[in-house]
Amino acid sequence: MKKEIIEKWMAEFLSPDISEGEKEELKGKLIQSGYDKFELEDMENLYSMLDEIDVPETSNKLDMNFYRSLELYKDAISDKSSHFGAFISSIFKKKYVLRFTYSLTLVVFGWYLGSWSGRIDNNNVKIQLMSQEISQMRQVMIYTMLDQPSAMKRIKAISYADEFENVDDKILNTFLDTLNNDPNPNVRLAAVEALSRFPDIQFVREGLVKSILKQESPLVQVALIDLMLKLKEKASKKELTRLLENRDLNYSVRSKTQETIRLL
Amino acid sequence: MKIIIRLCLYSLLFCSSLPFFGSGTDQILIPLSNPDKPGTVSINHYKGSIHVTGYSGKTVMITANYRNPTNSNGMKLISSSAVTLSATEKNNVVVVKVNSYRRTIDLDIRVPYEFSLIISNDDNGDILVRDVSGVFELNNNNGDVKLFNVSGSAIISTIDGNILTDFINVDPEMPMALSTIEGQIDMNLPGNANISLKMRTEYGEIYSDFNINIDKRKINIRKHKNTRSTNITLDGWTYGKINNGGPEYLIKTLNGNIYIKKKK
Repeated sequence: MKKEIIEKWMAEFLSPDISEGEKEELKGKLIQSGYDKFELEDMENLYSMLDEIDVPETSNKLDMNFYRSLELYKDAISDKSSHFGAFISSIFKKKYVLRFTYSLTLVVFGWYLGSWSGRIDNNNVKIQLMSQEISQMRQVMIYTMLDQPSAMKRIKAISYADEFENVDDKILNTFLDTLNNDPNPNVRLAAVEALSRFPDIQFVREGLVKSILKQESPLVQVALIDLMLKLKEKASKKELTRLLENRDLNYSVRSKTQETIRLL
Repeated sequence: MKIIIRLCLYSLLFCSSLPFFGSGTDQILIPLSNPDKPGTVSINHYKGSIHVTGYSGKTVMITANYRNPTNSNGMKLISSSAVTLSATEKNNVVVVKVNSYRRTIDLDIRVPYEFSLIISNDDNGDILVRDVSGVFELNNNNGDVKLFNVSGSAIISTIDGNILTDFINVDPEMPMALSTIEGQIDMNLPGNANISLKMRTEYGEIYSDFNINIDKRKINIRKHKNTRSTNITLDGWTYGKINNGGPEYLIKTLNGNIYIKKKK
């Protein structure tokens, strides 16, 4: 038999509100559960005697103290929960968690994007600087190589300019200088070839026309005369006519000059 | 530095003591500052032939033969008026001076196998180079230029002469230029050479037994920095690649044929 049920029976047996018949029935059940008949009667007597004991009245002061302590306790609890506790609990509310995650993601993403785009800008600037430096270095290399005593190196220097996307006036002036002053006819030929790519530039065109009378090698003379015909440079007629006045002019060059003057 | 100067003085002394007077033949031996390193011979000749041959020695040997003048009445030359052959050496660069302005002098030169040549000649003979490895800058206005069994690279120009080159090996980095007005150009190249060709003959033809990738209408597009103009030209050159292409060989003649042959 369960202890709780027995205790419940005992409480009902001692209560003054039940009828005599019920009392007898409960008494029987309790005796069956192991209680003595006299033990039960003693309990009944003790219980009835309890009612007769005087219970002293509680003072107002005690009540006030009790309720004040209770209020203080309540305040202390509510204080804690309203600041830190409330904050913590608010943080863990679902919508704040979402907002917080969202803003954190934004910050991280923004930082990454910033550093990434910064890197791209840096790289672009670096690439630009490097290509500028390379082109400057190449130009310096061309000047240095054009000063070399080896004709092979001078030809190589001119062929470097072929790789240039953009050529500036300084390089073109240097090539004009090479065309008029280099001791090797093959280097001068290479200069004619390099300059022939820039017929739209006025000073190159003029330089090429003026150079005709400065050349002694028939190889270079022929190259320039060919170029005049190709560019249909009518301004060169004067130079070509004066070239014919040279008695020592090579036979092939002479006939080519005459033909070119006729075609122009 | 002192050693070099001393060597120069010794070599000058040595040179001036050697000529054989009166025999119609002069010979000088020029020791080198660094006998184990390649050197250069530079000659500015006027009339006569120049034959250069590589040999296993460590000195440069120059023999000058005075060609019998036409007014010798069938007799041999016994004595000439002045010493006309001299040479200086500095840092393995041998500069030969020959007074061939009034007389025709044929030069026979022996050089170590690895030697470069800068030779120019005007008239009365051919330039012939055999068994040498180096850089050859050769200019012979009125005679042929022939290279046999050589390696390295060459820049050759002539006006009335033919050009013949027979390369065992070519420098994979260096460009070459062969140009003539009246003559034909005959270029023998090793079968495995990687070369880019740029060829032009005005009144002749171009032949080859190489499998050359011909690009006849190469379009030149060039930009200029200042005018920002783009120039596109179709030129009269024939462009081609042997094997994978490489340094540019400029080959140009006015009245002759061009032969590009595979060396067998």
